[in-house]
Amino acid sequence: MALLSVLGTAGCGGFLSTAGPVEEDAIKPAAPADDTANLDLGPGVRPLSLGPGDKGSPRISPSGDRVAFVLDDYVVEKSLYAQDSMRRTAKGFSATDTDWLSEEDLIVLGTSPGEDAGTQTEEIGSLFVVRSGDHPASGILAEGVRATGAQADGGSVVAFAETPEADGSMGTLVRIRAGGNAAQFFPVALQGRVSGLSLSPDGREAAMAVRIESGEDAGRVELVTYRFSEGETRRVALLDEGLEAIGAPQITSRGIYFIAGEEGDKEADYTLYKVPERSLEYETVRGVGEDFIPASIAVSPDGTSLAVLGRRSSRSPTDLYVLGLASDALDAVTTNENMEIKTKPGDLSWSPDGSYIVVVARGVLSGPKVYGSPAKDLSSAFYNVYGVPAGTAAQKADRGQSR
Amino acid sequence: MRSALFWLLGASFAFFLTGSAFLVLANFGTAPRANDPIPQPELSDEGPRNPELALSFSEEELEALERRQDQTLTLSIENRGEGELKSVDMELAVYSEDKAYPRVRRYRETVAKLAPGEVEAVELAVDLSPPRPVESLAVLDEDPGSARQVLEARAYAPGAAPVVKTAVVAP
Repeated sequence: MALLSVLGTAGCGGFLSTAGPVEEDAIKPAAPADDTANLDLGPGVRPLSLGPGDKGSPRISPSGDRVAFVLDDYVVEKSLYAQDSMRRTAKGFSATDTDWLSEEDLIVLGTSPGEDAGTQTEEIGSLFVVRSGDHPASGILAEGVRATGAQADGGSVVAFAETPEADGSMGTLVRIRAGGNAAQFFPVALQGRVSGLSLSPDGREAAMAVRIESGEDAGRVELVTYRFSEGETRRVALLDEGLEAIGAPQITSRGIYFIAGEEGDKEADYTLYKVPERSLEYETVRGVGEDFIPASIAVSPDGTSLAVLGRRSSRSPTDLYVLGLASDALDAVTTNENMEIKTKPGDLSWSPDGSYIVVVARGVLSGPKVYGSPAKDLSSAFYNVYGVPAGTAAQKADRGQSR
Repeated sequence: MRSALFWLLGASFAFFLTGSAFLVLANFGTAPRANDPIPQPELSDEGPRNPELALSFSEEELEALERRQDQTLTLSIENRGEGELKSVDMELAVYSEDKAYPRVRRYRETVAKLAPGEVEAVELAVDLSPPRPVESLAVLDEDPGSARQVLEARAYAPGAAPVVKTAVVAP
């Protein structure tokens, strides 16, 4: 009987294997995704998205489990390392930026299908909240929104909305908190238009770059802060004539940091500045080196470090650096060899625990390149989201001294 | 009693012998292991090789591609196995990396027979002209010609694992 059962198992197994037609779709190609293993941003850098499509505004959820980003014109969220993308905005919705409000809710800047896109410019949109299980964006929180900022570890989001009927000198800061049921509106008296907005790591203060439109300083840029508990704006710096702020000023534990350059200049003469605490004068940040060309900055969740996208010199590639604000030491956290890293301010952010930084990059192509995988499994062939470890233990300890 | 035992043993032996013969014959009639729905790894280089397809683009033609209609692109399919393939279906999907322009152009060809070691070149007339934007989308001012082009080629044959090659072409 034992012999019979052995013969039966072996023989019938072979017979049954050819009993039915082969389902081609059931056979997955064995070829590895050769693209994802060969990243040119350095060790430890991992892709958080794959496949074609222009990505931007990457943000890690407060728990650190998921990432949301704008894919072409809609918002998706997914697990960090699994391909389980979930669309969060409806077809026809045109999104430009997104931020996590809580573990499940997102704030989205964009225009909905019902809105007149003709009245919205590239710089102005509407602010929507997208709740969990709420496929299309919910109602508009604010219109005429020119800039948004958020706490890196979640908690609250702030937006600056231009008041349509005002004479151009007034606007409203809209603060949305994760635990709150409604947005809070703070009328703000400004002399011009906001070009950049950020929220302090503790969420109590907003910093804005404002191009002055009237008075004797018309045409110049000022940096102002707004403390929500006091309800008043405070000028912290007035930039020299001809100098414009790039992106949003960042409130740190060591003062306010910002990038500025000559108007119309294309990165060549951008400089990293800071306004030390209790000072009204700005100064260059010497720790980055004389030839350093910054492009984008983001303050860490604890306020002690600054992620800086930039180049050591005009001949260097764009890399990601971390500036320890206590030591004024700049550490490279990528070793870029062949990648284009996006330098738009919204395309750089920290994970809520400050352990890594998120950027958007793609490989440089000088000609056609052939891969052994489907396009949906490729990373460096297209703009994709990458998580970059924020530094070695020694570097983190150095930054920790400033707390 | 002894004769009954003899007949019982004899009958059992005859049953096992006949059953074994049928099972051996059944195994002769089966196709190679590669027809398993789940591909098995090769244990050694010896013995018959599973049907295996190799797909490649003409690199010269890829280099010469432009953003226009009526261009020739040659795909080469090779049978690297030891058995003849009765037909190989090939598909080329051409689309922009920019999903705001979701149109996919597909080209299909079938190679009738492919002997072991044989390479068949399939010429396709492809259209790489920029697609017209979808009017309902708000992103109308972006230049569709600035996005990278994706050329995703696949080949399928009964009994062989499908192969995929993706060429990405910068504008």
